[in-house]
Amino acid sequence: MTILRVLMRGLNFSVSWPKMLVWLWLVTIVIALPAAVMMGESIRTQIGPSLAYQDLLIELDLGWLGEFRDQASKFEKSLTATAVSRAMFLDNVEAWFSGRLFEVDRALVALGVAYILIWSLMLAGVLDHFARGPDRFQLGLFLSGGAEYWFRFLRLVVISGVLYYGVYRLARWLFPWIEEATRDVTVERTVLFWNLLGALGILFLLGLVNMIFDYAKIATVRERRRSMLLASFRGLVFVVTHPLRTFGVYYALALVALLLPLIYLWFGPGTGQSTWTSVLLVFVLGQVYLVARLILRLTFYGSQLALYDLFGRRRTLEFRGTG
Amino acid sequence: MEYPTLFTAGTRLFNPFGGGSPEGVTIHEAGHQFWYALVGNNEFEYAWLDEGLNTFSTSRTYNVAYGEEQYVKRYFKPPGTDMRGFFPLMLDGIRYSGSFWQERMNGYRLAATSDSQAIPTYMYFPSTGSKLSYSKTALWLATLENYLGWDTLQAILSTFFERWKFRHPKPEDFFAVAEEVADQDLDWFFDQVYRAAEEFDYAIESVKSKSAAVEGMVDREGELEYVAGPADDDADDAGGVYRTEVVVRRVGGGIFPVDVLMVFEDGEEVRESWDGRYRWRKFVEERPSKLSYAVVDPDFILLLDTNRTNNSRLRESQATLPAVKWTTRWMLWLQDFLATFGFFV
Repeated sequence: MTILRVLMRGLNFSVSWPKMLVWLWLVTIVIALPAAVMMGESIRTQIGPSLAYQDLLIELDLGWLGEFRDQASKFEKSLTATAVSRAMFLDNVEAWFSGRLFEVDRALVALGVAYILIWSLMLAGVLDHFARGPDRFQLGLFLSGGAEYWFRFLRLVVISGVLYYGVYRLARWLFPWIEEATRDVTVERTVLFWNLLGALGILFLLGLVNMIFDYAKIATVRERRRSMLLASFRGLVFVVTHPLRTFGVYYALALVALLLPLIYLWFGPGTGQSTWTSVLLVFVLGQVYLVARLILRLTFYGSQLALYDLFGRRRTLEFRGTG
Repeated sequence: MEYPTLFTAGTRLFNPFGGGSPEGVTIHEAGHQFWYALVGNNEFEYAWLDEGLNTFSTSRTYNVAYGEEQYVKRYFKPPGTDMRGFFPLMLDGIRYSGSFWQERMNGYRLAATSDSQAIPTYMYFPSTGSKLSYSKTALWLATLENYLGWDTLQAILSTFFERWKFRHPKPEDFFAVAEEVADQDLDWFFDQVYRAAEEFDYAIESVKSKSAAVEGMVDREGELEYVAGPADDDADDAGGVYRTEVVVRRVGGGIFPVDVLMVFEDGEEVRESWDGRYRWRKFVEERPSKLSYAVVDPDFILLLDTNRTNNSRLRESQATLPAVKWTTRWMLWLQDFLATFGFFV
């Protein structure tokens, strides 16, 4: 019952300030747009005045894509068949799970790192906003709250980064070990079983680190902590002392996070848009998905904050007047 | 894998029907019982002779039996391993629009000029062995099929098989059979695809359609009027005639006879043949309508053409809408990619 209550509270947090959502969404647009303009120009140049446009309005022509990719830069090579299909989100899930997120083109990794920096600021603002609970969203208050905790959150990124790196290193050892151990197994189901088991272990560890540092951030904001090592320890202690509730909340939301790309995969648009209107509609639909993903991410933080308030809070942050 | 009178072929859990597995590999490995086992060429020096002929046979057989292969991406590849993903996902709306042979082109394009096929296989430039042995041979055999017709190519293959089964043919033996059955000199073709490393690429370099420049009396609504000098873009000034110029280029070193199709706005089509030898050729037409577009090799005979996109040219580009379409989709992927980085905050 507690879990359901904090989930609802978290959802309430995430949708209470729609303007905040808009700002968070705009950040992804602003970072992605220059790269998209460059990619668009490359695609337009490659199509040129040819008749290839006809096929490309109906479907993705792999022959054309092959020509494009064979003369493309590494950045342009990120235009893959699945990256523009309904399975686009699965590509990122796979890259996240395998740790290959950081092995793509340097320019894209740089964008990702830039996003981490900006998202740290935004997230600090979000948690500060959740903690204060003002009647309406104020950008100034949001940013000042974010700025207050930004560098602390960046320190947490560094600490958690070491642990994430450790998990990915473990995965790079574990799966080749499973491959070696099962190389003479003649039944694929058995090999799949062991790999799935390994994947569950890696996912558990990734989730655990993520959860601990979510609570570390919450503790930082709620208790105005300055030592991020102690905040991390506080996050760990909270998870260890409330395992059922913390894991229950996290995995309930993780399940939704897994379902989102699957829903897009099953019900998302095909590739046959041939008019400006239909292209725009698909774009809007995709953005709706991204906003849903943002809401989900905020629900994670909101729910965990609510849980922390119920069971772990030590000092209450005094409401600071907005002046 | 092929062995004398035996072959093995792998399959995977969850393989969707239409994705090509395990049918493709089964056909291919069974095919080796003919190309290598019965017709026993030296695989070490002329791998293309069995792998290439067999790849061509595989693709053609698969296409006849099952139709076009659907695009499949496999997910859940265990990190740090050479294994392929466990869960295949078949996606619609992603295919080879021009010809299924383009799948082979995507493997061959970057190796097109790396080596001539004639040198021993073990001496091929690193990492190009399969591209030159499998893909290139399949592409030039398919080009030969388009050029000579299936009946002739089928006769070439069956004659080669009958004549050389239980024996050890060399490349020249295949070429001799091809010329004998086709009853024509094909050295010009084999010189380029086998004895040299020529890249084939024909392109429409430019298209122009303007009102024809005239000097003389022009009929305008029943009255004759004197018109002199270059006309503007209005064909009325030229008695309703547009002068169309299409420049076709041979961008690659390879030479192949091609057709050039010019389609006009009134629907009229003009097809010209070109031996494709000189580096470029200009086609000029004077018609009552402007050109809509031009295509070199409109029937896609030359499957070795490494750049198919430049084979056609509209008078006005229509690239903006498809570019925006695929860019907005890619941008969505990028936004999600960035949001995935957010996990680490």
